[in-house]
Amino acid sequence: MAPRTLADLVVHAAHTRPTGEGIIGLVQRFSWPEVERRIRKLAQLLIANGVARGDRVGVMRPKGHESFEAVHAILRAGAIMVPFDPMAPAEAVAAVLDDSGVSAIIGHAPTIKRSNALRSEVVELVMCTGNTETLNTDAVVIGIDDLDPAAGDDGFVEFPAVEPDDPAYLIYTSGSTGTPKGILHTHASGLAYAEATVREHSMTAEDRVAAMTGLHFDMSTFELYAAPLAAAAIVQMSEPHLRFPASFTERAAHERTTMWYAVTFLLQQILERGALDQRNWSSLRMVMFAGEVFPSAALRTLMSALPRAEFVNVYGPAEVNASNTYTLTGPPVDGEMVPIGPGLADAEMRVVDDLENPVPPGTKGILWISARTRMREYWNRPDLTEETRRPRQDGPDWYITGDVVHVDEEGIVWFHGRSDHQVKLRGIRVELEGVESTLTNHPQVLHAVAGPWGGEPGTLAVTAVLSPGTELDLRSLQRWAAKKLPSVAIPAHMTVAHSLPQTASGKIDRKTIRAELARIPEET
Amino acid sequence: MSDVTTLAGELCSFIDREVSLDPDTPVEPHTDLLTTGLVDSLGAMEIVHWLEEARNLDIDPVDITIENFQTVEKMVALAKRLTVG
Repeated sequence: MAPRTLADLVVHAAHTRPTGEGIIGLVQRFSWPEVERRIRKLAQLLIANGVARGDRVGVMRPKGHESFEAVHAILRAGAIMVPFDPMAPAEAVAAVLDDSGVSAIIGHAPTIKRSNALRSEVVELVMCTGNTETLNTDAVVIGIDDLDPAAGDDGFVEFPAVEPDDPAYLIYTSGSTGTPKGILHTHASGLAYAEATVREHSMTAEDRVAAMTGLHFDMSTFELYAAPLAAAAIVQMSEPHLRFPASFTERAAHERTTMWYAVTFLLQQILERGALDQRNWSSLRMVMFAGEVFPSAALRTLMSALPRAEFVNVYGPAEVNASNTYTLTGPPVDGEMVPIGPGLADAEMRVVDDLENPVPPGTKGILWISARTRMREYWNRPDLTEETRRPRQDGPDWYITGDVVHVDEEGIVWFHGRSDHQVKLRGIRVELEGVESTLTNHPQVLHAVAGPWGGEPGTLAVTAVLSPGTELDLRSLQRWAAKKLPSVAIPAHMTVAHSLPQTASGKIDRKTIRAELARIPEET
Repeated sequence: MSDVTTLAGELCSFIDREVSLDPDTPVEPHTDLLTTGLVDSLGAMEIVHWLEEARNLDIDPVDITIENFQTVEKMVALAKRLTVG
């Protein structure tokens, strides 16, 4: 039977592929039926310990087969899955815990301890691997290192009936005020993405997907949901694999991966330092990239290093999952853009002007998307949900992306940047205003203007005005910021200014300052 | 031998000073830098660059691996191998 919800996916994979490899962990290998039994056991533990439909349950651990199992156990229990960046600073973790109201966590003891997550009194249940004695908490703590699916199969624990319109997962992204905002997807919207992706890219049980994305990042929906729908094998990668391209390529080639889906930044690192010419890539059939524009020269070099693979540009804000996809017909010509493609499956596009009137083909405007992959809402933010939503009678409501695009005569969409102050750094969405408002919380910083730095692609620079008579060096600012901001948003460069240029209306001239920060420094 | 000891010390203090995201955790030669969140992806590259420049080493991409960069001790072993080789 075709899956109706994300909670059905692993059961479906176990039926479709009862033998052979399901998940290739960093140490162990599991068939899909083994994965299914482990997930069922974890879900039963959640339910037996009071987790109910609609509760928020966090996943707080490094990447691996255990994180995949945690996600699916939460979905199976009918709860809402909230993924955490295992490297996130404690203050960022606290902000998400407070906003989402997570009452239980599945994780790894050292990660949970480092995140200082249990200072929140809302967390009542912790199920984790690692040394549970270090946690020092009043919450109920259950060790799951020796999870034995066969032992005491609690047949009497009843799984809740999960419905397609139930909320499934809550994924956080940086907000413009410095407070993260939660994007709430349903089982139906997550499954619509998985179905469209499996069909569009002809994924089958013969595929072997490299797991290249942190769970807290929306692109992980590919490995979490599309892979089990196709009953494809998943080759797990640890965070260090993603930081050391030669280690990644060694494992990816050895395990005969067939599909990659990664942010442009990671693929560029793999190109530069992955020793691609020393590996056998005969099994790799598809490389999908997303997150930001791929510079055409680098993309061309990567394509020639992986000549058997098809290259696919994927686009879509986390709010609508992936909504567009474009398969390259050949290497891009220098200086020419790669389009973000037509709508994926039944996704529809509308491009509007400032008055929200549709513009003719070829004219730039703001992109609206109507798709079954659309989120339900921003968590606890009805204002923001309404601001970015336009009702539609004959299909899913429009989502206002804020991206500037044009659509050509063939219906293919071309991306031209943002209409606001959101930037992508190493594939991760960062709201510049949010970073600036965080930095001005530093006791010595009066004003801060942040923007992508020309000196090092993928990093931020800041121009700061300090309290009179004080000094602040970059390292001190970085260490302070490391407690509050995700690592991509920690400034890599700082200029101290006595005053900032102003616009005619007396506002800080952010545009001029950001242009200065983005300038590529001349070699000295 | 003294050279190796010096390199370990210099690397620890470089990582402490320029790379580490957590000032409360001092970097020792055996500290696991990769699973603890002390070093992110750009930090890892800064360490590679530092080794190349300060020690005049030519590190092949194929050597930039988890095994060789997990701890300062392992980086020192790599540097030694590359110098001898």
